[in-house]
Amino acid sequence: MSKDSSHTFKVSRRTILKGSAAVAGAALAPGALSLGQAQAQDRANTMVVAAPATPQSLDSEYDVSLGTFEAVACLYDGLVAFEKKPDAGVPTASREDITDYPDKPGGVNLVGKLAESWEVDPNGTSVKFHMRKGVKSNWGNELTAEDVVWTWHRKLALGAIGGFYCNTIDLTRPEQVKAEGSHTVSFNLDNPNPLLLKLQPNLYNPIYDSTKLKEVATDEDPWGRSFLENNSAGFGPYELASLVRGQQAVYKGRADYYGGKPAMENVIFKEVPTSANRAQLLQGGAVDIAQYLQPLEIIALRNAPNVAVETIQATFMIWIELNAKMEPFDSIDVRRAMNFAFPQEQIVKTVFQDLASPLTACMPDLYPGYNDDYWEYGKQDLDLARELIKGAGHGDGFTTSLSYNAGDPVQEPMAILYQSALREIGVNLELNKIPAATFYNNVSERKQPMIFYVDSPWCPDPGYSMNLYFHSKSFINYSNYENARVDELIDGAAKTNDQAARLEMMDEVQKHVMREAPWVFGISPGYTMARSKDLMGWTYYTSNNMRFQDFYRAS
Amino acid sequence: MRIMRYIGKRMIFIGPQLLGIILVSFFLVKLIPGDPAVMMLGPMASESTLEELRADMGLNLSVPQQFLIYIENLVLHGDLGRSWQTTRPVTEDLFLRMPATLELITLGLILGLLIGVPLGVGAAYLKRGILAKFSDYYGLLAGALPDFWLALVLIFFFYTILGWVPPPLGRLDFFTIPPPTITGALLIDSLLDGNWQALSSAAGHLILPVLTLGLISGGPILKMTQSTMDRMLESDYSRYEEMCGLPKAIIIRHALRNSLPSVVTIVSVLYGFLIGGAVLVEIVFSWGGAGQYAVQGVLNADINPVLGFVFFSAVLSLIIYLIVDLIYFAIDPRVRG
Amino acid sequence: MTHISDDDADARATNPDASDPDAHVGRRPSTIGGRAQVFLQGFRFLLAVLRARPMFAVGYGIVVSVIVMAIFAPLIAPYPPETANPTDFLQPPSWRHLLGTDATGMDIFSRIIYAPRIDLTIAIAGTAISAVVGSLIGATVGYYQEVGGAPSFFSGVVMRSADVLQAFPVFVFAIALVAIFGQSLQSIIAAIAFLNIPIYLRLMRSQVMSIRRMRFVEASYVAGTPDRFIILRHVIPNSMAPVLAQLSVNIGWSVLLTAGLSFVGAGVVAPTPEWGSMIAMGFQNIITGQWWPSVFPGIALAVTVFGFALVGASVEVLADPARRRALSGNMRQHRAKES
Repeated sequence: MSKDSSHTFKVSRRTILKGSAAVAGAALAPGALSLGQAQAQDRANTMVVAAPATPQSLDSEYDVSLGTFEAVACLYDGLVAFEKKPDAGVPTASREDITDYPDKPGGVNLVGKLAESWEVDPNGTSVKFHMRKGVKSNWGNELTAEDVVWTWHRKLALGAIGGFYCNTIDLTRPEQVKAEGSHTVSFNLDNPNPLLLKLQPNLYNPIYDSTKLKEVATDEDPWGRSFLENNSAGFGPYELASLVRGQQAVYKGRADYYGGKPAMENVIFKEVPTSANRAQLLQGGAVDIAQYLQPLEIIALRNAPNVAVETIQATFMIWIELNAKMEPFDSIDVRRAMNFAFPQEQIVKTVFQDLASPLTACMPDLYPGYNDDYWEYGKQDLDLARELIKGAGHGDGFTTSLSYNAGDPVQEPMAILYQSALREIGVNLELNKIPAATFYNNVSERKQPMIFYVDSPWCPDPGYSMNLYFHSKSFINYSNYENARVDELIDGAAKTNDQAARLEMMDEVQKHVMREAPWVFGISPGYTMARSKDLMGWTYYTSNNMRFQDFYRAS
Repeated sequence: MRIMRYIGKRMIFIGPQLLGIILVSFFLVKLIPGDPAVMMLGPMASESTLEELRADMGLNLSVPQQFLIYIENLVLHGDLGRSWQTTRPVTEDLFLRMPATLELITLGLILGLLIGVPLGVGAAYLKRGILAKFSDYYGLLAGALPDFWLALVLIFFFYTILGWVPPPLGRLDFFTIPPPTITGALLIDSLLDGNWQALSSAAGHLILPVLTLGLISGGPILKMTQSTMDRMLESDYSRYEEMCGLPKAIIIRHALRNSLPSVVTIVSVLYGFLIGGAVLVEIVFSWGGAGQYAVQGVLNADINPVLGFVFFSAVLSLIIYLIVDLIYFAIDPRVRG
Repeated sequence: MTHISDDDADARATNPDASDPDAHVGRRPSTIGGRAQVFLQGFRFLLAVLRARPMFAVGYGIVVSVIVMAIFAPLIAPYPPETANPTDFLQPPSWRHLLGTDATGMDIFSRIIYAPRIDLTIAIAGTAISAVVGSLIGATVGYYQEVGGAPSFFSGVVMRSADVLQAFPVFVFAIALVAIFGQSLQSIIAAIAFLNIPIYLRLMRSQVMSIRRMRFVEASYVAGTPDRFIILRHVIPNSMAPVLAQLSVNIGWSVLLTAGLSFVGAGVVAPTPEWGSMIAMGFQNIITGQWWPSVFPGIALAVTVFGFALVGASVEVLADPARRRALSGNMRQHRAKES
């Protein structure tokens, strides 16, 4: 299988789009037609989650559906993870500590998971990990360096999400990941790469049990693809007890997990496609957590006696791609005008009920390097917008269309509000509703003049974010934005470890991007955890999922 | 032997009719935009993986060729393909979902009969009373109400305000253990299993959707009964019976018996319609029925569920019409003779 | 809508007066004066009927008001139907917003008034197309049914195709058509037209089959009139009655189908005001207690369809000679009681 080293690979998409596809497509589940589960579990060690969808596939090389995130998060461990710290606003919540720590190796504050310790080469071209000893997988095999090597060779060979990560850290040859002894493994790059260590805690860099997977490999399927679709082979705190797609998944805490058996020993992950139903179930006490609720439902839940609802700043961004290759968005002034007309505050108030904040930059505000100094579209300025359009030669306005996702309930009202605002500056917006399953195709085909997109870059690094969306060769650059200087800066930042220099470069990138407005900068919705009051321990991750191993019951 | 000849004549048509239905649906559904390979593997798959999957699924063949393969699978192996959304074989999915829909429709139509027939008879007989007026209005109104709207209103009223029924979340309560599947109809299966909890939970969840369907289908049933009874009571033999002084009950009974064919017709029509037509109610109640399955398939370009559903419902419809015609034979001596 | 599966049942069920020599009462006079007289007569009769059966009057009233709403919407509606007003979102009914506002602040009352423009356009266009196409095909098929040989075989094929079309689950078919041709008024109209063709086809066919047996048609045939003349001038006008009755009911049903399609998400484009689409947009809010975005459009929808059904029922009565007689009888009795 050939591997193209340009940025044409489709990246691991933490898109709610694909998740919505799963949600819309999976609106099929009967109430509780599970296969003989005796649910009278002990409340102290059982947790029930009402989710929009069960995992489609358990293979993190390919699947970014919503249910798969939680599955991978509990079935697998990575080499390292970010250290945690309590959230500033919500004391019951923890976060990953993603601040830059220039004194620490790799500049990141990490805690060891499958790796006990690590050393970064001073010139930044290699990292050596020392693996923890005596760690068993859910199949009873012991963790060795070979597992890490095999995992990364799989990524190189299959070239999907993992392939993208290989590209990001400039890993191109299998020999670059080397086992140096039974419990030591090293990554050796040709050039210094700032993300070599920072990418390891990523949700989609789990380590597989290569012993088991080599057992189930066949000639046609040497990397265990069909096995990993429905089973797990890893070193995480949970194992898969059962999976009935469209109904539920059941995870069981492992007694032989090296970190000790998780407090919530049984996790029932139930598919409840309608958010209103999920809210109902939580309110009635039938579930412990209701995922992905609509703003009005969240507000309504605040009054429920046994429920805690907390919203914190997150890495989600909702924006509208303005296709730079289609008229009239090839003109920078027109794009800026579209931003001046966008009624951000109104939308935050009405559609999101203040559970979001305006998007004031082109990367999440949590991340180091975020700079909102270049934000100029704060006030909705219709006069200026009209001027800009006239100046760009479009006279009294023009007609165009905005495509939105039928599976995401906030997009339609946002589109309608925007349509009304645009009418006042002479722009006639036709709304185009696209079913959830085909929505992403429309985005990636880049044939629409304006289309919504929801995403969050998982790696808390400005270079990573900018590269994803604004490098002209990036597959995710759906707006067809091209700026040679921006490309130069992004490429430069990928090749050096000098964090200070990188931050400067990414700052300049933000300046260009914010001025040239390839997006209509929309909304940054918060992440809401709606849970039973006595379920504690939730931690916010930049990948916007939860890990069951964090939770415990308050006594 | 006339029956045999009649059935035989119909059977000859069933094969080609089914083939025709599948043919039309296949070509129709193939026109829906959307690339299944991309949707199954997700956006991160490489071109070569996509090509592999397309070759696997036979998508790179011409449409007529794909059709032949589909027919071959269907006839020789009983294989309806796989749904990319649920990743399960369509036959499995339908075996779960069809009984859900059928249970709902059957109970709904029974309720419709219980409402429609007595009212229709009463209205036809007591031509000018309040009952007749009420039946008129009801008949027309029932045909005018959107079923999904009625479902919403009933939910709002009986659940949100009064709290008399369980939340509209499907067929069973969240934590109830379902009975082993024998017929697929929860009421029957839980009875057979002696599982009273499941029985009461299933019954509770059935109340509102059955009420919705019953109220709405009661309308056409009532109208048909009323108009047929009207005609029967106006007819010569009825008048003759009246003149002869036969008691009302007997006159009505005779007229009713002669109206049966029409009632049976309308019920069969409704049944066939509701198999796919109950989808809106299924969606409102998260019922997990077959119609919902097919609609999600169409919306998301998941072809096999749609084809499987069309096939199943066509087979069911044809069987229903055959049964109905046999019933005609049984009750209508004119057809027999 | 009735689906009739057996050839004999067709004839029996829809035309009980097949043996009645006076069935061709609707024969048209040939002078203008004569025609005007008939028209006036009919009109006076209609008024009498409406007085005797007030329900029909209600039906006509509803239909007329809905049409008026559709035409004069800009003059009646207090707010523009597609302009979002975020400060006013999800307001319960009040004096400012008679029926409240929806999630984007649009006034529900205004949108309900504008909705018939879309709903009626779709329903009437779709029904008209299906009526014309279906009737023509049905008349042709019915006329040639008994002739035997190639035309008869062709009829058989058409009928079996109609069977196939009607065996299709209505919703799935409609959604598939919209999914293929994209969400637009035209595709919805096409879907509705397609679905309704078999109804008119069958109706016309069975009517034609019985009319065809009548003497005056035979006379025409013997006189050497070309077939298509016979069909167009004699057969079709006399078979119109059930078709006309069906039209109105069909329009109502098409409005329901459009609403259903919009509810599923395969109907009109947002934020076009359309009753089903409004119900769908308000669906989420019912559980959180805001009932007015969904309930009011549903009431409007039901009342409209109800009105069309009543009109259809009245046409049915007027067009069927037996029931017209019964009604006249009632009216005479009624008037007798009054005096």
